[in-house]
Amino acid sequence: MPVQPLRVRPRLFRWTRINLGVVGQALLVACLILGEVHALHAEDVEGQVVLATTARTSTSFGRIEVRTANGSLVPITFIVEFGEVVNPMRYDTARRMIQLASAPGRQVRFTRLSCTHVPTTRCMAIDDTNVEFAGTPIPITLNGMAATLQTVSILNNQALFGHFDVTGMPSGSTRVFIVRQQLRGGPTPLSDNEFDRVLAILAQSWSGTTPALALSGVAAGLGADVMNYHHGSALYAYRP
Amino acid sequence: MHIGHKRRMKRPAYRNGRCWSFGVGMLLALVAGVSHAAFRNLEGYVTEATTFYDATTEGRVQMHLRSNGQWAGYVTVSFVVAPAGTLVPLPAATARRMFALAATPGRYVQFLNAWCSAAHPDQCYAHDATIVDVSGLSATRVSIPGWAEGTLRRIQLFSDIARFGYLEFTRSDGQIRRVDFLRNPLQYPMTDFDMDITLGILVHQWAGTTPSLTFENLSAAPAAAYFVMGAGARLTAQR
Repeated sequence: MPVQPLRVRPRLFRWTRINLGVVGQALLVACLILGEVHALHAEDVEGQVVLATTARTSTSFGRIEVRTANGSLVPITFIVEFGEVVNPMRYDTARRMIQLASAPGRQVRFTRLSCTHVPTTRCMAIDDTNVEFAGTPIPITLNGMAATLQTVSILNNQALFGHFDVTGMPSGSTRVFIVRQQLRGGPTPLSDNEFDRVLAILAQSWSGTTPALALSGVAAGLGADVMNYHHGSALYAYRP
Repeated sequence: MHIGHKRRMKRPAYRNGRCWSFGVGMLLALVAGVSHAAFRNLEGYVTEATTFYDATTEGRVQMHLRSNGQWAGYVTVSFVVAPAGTLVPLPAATARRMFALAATPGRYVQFLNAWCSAAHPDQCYAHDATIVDVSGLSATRVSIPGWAEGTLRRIQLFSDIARFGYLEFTRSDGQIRRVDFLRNPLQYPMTDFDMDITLGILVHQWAGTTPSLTFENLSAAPAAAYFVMGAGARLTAQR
């Protein structure tokens, strides 16, 4: 009776086959991760807010949609938890940016968003993101001097909460920094509570309800065109 | 007899007639003080808002008061955030939200149960028992798809364990409907962050920038007399 030869694969072939499978899977995962990372770009988005919602996911709270100058609609989510391949914002910074941006019709400019265009355009406000608000200039009195408020910026920054840009000062343009951290010899910073009060007033700017602002007790900065809003300064909104 | 005499000598002072008269006097003074430094309901248009603060308050609004349809002078309302006399302070987050909602010149605001000083009746304080109510003419449409639709009527915030506050809207048939912002920890409440973001949208009402508000995933009360916004619900503002 003929004996069937035992069919045994060569050892080398078996080894190669197994390892090709493992290496292939690893390469696939690496490509996916690299692809995802490369799909995210740091981008600036400027336009008019058309929608604001409280929608939340496991990593984000709130979303706004911005209509850019070329007519495209860009959704922006605010990342506040780890889980994406980006660093989240601080809770308080996200809350403040959402409060200022959640006014349909408002002109905004986000810088250093993390955006992807695959499969559709969507952006995330993350640890690096700053935002600037502008619109019709608002009259402002700065330490008793008449000027015009042009923009307000909220920064996700250790040293500053943000800054105002005003024009019409003797020095020309002036930037007023809102101090968050005390530097050597610098002014006492604002507390989070104090900044929340400032923000509450600024959030209503450009909505037609705050015809005039006054800023008092602002300290001179290092340059002629720099001032510091610190602990003890005060912001007023009033109807002249 | 000797022991009884010693007992009479040690009679407590409060059983002395003079002490009673002193106590009654104090009570009368307290009643008189309270009647002057009264809890008041204030309503009118906000004329000025400022970040001004002191040891016990943060943020202040000035109002042009309305009383029985007449202008009734000006009053300032400061938000108490640290114990001040007998006043219990507002929790920090509640004070922040109330100020954010009220600190807009031109806005029609009521401070219910504000405390006003006896010495300076034009200086009042929002404290833990104060309710902030914002209303006025509004063109904002409020919609709860499949349930109700109407026009925004008022938003109210207060310091309470069960609710952060509520929003009211008027249906086309004149009936009023309410959306409660749930805080009750025994149910599925909104978190403080949820409420902050919701308020971030609501503070822009009466500014003409938001013609429509849409609520989704609300819980409806029996007969849909009111709705509850809890965890998972959503508010969207859109032009």
